[in-house]
Amino acid sequence: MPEGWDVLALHLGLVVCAAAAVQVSGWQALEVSLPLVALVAALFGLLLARSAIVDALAHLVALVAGIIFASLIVAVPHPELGARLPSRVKSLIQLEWHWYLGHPILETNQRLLMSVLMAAMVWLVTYLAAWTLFRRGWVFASLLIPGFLLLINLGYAPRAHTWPLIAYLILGGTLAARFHLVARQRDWSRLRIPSPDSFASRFFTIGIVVAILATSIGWAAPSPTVQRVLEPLLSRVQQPIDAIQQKSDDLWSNATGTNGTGTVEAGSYSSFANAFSIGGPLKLSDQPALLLKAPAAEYLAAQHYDVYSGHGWSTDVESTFNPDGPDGRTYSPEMTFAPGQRVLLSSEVNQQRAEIDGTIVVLTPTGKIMLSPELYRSSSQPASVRMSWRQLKDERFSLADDELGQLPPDLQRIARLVRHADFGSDVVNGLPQALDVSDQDEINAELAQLRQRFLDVRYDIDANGMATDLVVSGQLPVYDDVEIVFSRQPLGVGSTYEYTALASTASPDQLRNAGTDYPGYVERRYLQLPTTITPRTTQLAHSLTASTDTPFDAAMAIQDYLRSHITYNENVPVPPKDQDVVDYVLFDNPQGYCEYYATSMVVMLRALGIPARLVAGYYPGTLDPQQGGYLYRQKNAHAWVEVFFPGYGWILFEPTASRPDLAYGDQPGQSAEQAATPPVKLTPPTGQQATPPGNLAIAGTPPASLPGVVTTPDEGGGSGGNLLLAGLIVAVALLAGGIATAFWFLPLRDLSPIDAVFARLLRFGRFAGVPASGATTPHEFAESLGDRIPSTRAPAMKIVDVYEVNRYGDQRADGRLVALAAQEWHRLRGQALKVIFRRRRRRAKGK
Amino acid sequence: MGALKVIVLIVVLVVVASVYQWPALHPIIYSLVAFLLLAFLWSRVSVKGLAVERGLASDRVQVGQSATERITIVNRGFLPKLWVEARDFSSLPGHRISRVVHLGAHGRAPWTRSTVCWQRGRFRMGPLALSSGDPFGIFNVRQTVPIAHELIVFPAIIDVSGVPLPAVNLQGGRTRQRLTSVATPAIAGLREYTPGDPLNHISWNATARLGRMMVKEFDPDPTSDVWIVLDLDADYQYAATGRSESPQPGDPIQWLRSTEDYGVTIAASLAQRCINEGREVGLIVSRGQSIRMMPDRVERQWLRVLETLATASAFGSKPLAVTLTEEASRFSKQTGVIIITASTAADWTRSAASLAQRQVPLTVVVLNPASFDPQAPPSAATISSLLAQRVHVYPVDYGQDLSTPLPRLGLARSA
Repeated sequence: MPEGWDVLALHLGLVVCAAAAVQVSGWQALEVSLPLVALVAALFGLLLARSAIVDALAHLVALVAGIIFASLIVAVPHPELGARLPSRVKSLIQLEWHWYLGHPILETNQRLLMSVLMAAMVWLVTYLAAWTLFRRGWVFASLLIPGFLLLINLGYAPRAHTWPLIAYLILGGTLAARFHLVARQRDWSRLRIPSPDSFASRFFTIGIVVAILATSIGWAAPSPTVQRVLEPLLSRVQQPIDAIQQKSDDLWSNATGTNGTGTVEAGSYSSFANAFSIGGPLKLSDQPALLLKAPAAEYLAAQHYDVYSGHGWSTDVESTFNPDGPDGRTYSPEMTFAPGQRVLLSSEVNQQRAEIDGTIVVLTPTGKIMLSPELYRSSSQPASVRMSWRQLKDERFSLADDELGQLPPDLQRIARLVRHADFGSDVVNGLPQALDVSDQDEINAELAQLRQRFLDVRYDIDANGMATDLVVSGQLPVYDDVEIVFSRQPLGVGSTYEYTALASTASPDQLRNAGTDYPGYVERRYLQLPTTITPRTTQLAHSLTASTDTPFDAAMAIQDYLRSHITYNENVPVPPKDQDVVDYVLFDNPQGYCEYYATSMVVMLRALGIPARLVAGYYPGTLDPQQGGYLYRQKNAHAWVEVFFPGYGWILFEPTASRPDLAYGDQPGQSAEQAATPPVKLTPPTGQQATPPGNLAIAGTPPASLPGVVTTPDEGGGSGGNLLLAGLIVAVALLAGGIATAFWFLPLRDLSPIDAVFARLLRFGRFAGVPASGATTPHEFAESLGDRIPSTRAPAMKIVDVYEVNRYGDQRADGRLVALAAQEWHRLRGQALKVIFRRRRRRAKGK
Repeated sequence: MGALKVIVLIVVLVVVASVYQWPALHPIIYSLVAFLLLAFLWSRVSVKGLAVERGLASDRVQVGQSATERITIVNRGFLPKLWVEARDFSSLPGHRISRVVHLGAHGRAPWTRSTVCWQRGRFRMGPLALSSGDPFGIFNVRQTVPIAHELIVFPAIIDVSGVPLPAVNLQGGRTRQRLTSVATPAIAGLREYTPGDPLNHISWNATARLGRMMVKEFDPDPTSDVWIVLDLDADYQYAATGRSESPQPGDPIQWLRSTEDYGVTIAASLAQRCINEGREVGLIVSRGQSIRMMPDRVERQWLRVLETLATASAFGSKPLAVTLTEEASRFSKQTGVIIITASTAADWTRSAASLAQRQVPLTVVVLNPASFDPQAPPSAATISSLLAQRVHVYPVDYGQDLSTPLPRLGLARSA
């Protein structure tokens, strides 16, 4: 080990530290030992760096080896993937390939995929760090690469710890000092300058002492100083930086998935991902997240979850939707809305609700997620609203007058058209034709529009020529079942949007009388329970609600029980993997934080047949008079419960003991909203060309639109995200290549042809291990090169001759000589590269 | 790891921390700033309070001998120096006295280096550059200690006993054509003292006898003076191709690579031999700007010759024939001439023949260019031409062991 074993140990410590930081940061889906991956990758990188292999090939080998090793280490403890290890690895690689192509990944496989990707990322980072250090001797880059991983982890991990960062800085400082000595000793050795043997231990000791000192200073210094000092400067450059940040957020959100938070499972509810695991200590910072300008602080919802697995939450909204459109394109279960356009809510959810408005200023971006209280209605930004869908197969809808208002919004226009038309005996394409040609033209146009939205609609008429029923096949969005809202524009620091939402004003009595006539989608999605639910959990739910008659009272009873029997504690251990979390928290370790409370309440309510769901968002912030609004910090991230009451929709419950209890019905009286159920409205997605604007307008409503979002990069579909990621990688590679090329050619730009040839010769000398020092004459350099590679002596001497004539002679070297020198350079380069390659290979074999 | 990189990193982190309102970055930024400041302060004090003592055992050595130098770095401060690189920029080839040292508080780091001198010349010892910096390589500082002294390396002396010095037969009874200014055993007469005469030429006996100051006049030594004509015409110098291995102590001839070195070494050796034999030696270096040293027999003449030859190098173009013509008036039957040349030009052989015809005792040491450089012309024609003129010729080939008597070609000129 030419650099010294202590250098290797420091480097290994550094990369293992970075990997350990990721490991312990609450990425719950991880099923792999990242420090082990880092250790193997660093040694692999060291071996490759020591070999004679050329750079590009080495990186390719490392990439392939990384994917295989990451798959291997994840596959070992998973016999369900295959009988033999190779078949397991193959399955995982196929899974990765499916993910790369943008195919949907089952939830069970997402954990595996997450583990493989994290392991591969750690492998790549560690390999690059080892390569840059041991092949190139670039200690700064070698420190920066794992440092970048640490910073990313610090910024995005659910529960990032500080100790890896401190360890990294101390190890990094020590490595920098120790490797500085290595570089110096190389120079001294080349110049034959003797140095004491004791230097290694001295540099090691001094390095670690100074590193500890500097790190201590760093952690002891007051935090706001930087901000205060740079405030005037930053205020000037804030706008362009914001623009850049918005772009990067946009890229990042696209690259990580369709929802801006990543399609894979994140570690904590506070990341608002489409899935999370329960458990582990909660570490939320005081960092400002947003500012709400509204009459009152509200619970701001981000993501709703319906599927409980026994250890975490996710959503199955994708399963309600058929993504394959008849036009061959893939869609996601989202509807797009223009600014101000409202999501249409039916009478099943909007009774006793008042419209509330507010303005949110983003202080820490959370992808493109838009927040709003309770039932989202509209926003000032173009929005994509993810919701569940209803699949139809020749479903019949009555056109009786009293049922017309109950029709799904998307069918109301065609229903009105056929209801008001008189039909004759003519039939075209199986459809009766209206007597009035203009009526028939309108009907045909509307039917064509609906077909473009994948709804095949027919109608039946009675003997009087009056339409009686619509027969529909296809899929319809359930506007009442909104899961999450995304902005269609980047949301960076300082971005502002307004929302309109519907807050419940239903009184306890009204909720008690709501009944249990739940819509089909509610029963399908919000009553499901896993098999991990224990009988004693169900028994407890029943015993707690034995004396109650209504779902509302049952919910209140369970809420009260949880608030009084579970101790609020953010530093709880991770629940055992083989035990249901609710069972664990109710009976074995009755302590936890919001997600424990909320999960327990939802599970117990569902066990009683009461639809409930878990909501992740922020609890109300505190008033900040200076900023003129309510300041929400990261520590306001919260999970709570919503219970469905027919007619009143989702009602918020707060089972977490650390939060104040909620009051109901404090805004008595019906809202204007409730007086008459508003018509459902849809608008075309931004940039959606399939729907001509204005041609599908239902009287008094904005035009309707196609469902879903196509999977083009602009629309942020899954494979689009992957393509973007691939594009990003290609762009970075091209950028790196461009910079390298510029570094190679730019210094030669202003040189005369012979000077350029000589400069190339000098570069080649460095590559061949014969660097030219300031005291070396051109001929001495050529001789040294000739000593190292005899075949280069003659051409090098000729080049140097011409160079010296040109540089030091009375006249410039003529074109013939310069051409001769250039010719000699090409001859030299070809021969010498062969020799160098052969020697390195021989040396590698010798080793 | 340069300071610029660290500063750029800090700036980037500050911008990110501010834009994203990311307070977790603040300790990292402070730590990096602390690293930077500590490194800067460290580097500033790392060469403060250093002093260098430097001395040579002798400032004059000969090729083949060792020059011994001692350097001591003294830390006059109370802060230790982690590393100090003392890089020497002496012009003496192979003098590797550079060293890296660690210095404790008020510590000293002395070391000595003996270097075998294998190249004649005048060499500067120094300057010495002291470099140091922080432990991380972020900041470097450098301090230069100027040139301390010079070292003169004289040419090597080899055994040239095989070359008989030109024989001069001074016939008695004849008036000397000239007097000599130096004291010889042969007193030619007395004359009155004139101001400027050396005091050691005063004949005190004659002065006492005659009552006025009388000085002695001397005849030249019977063995007479010898002129050594060294041809350093740049047009006729050749060097052995290829790079020599590191010189090893031993026979100095192994370090000679060129006709120039051979010529100088043979000239120095012949000069020493002449002086040892009590003969006056004059030196003419034929080149673009010729050097002429009038004959003298004293020890200091040999030192002067050595000093001249130590730095003599081929410079400019001046044909040997021109020099011989210019200096012909100095050569006579009583003056021996030794020509050392690698020239293969025909014209100087005619000049030499002319001298031979004037019965000037002449010996020519011919360095064979072809033995140094295969591309160079051989000296065979020159030798043949000289032999035809009955001139004593001693051919020398590259690599020839000069400690053995040189072979003599041609017939001895009859007395």
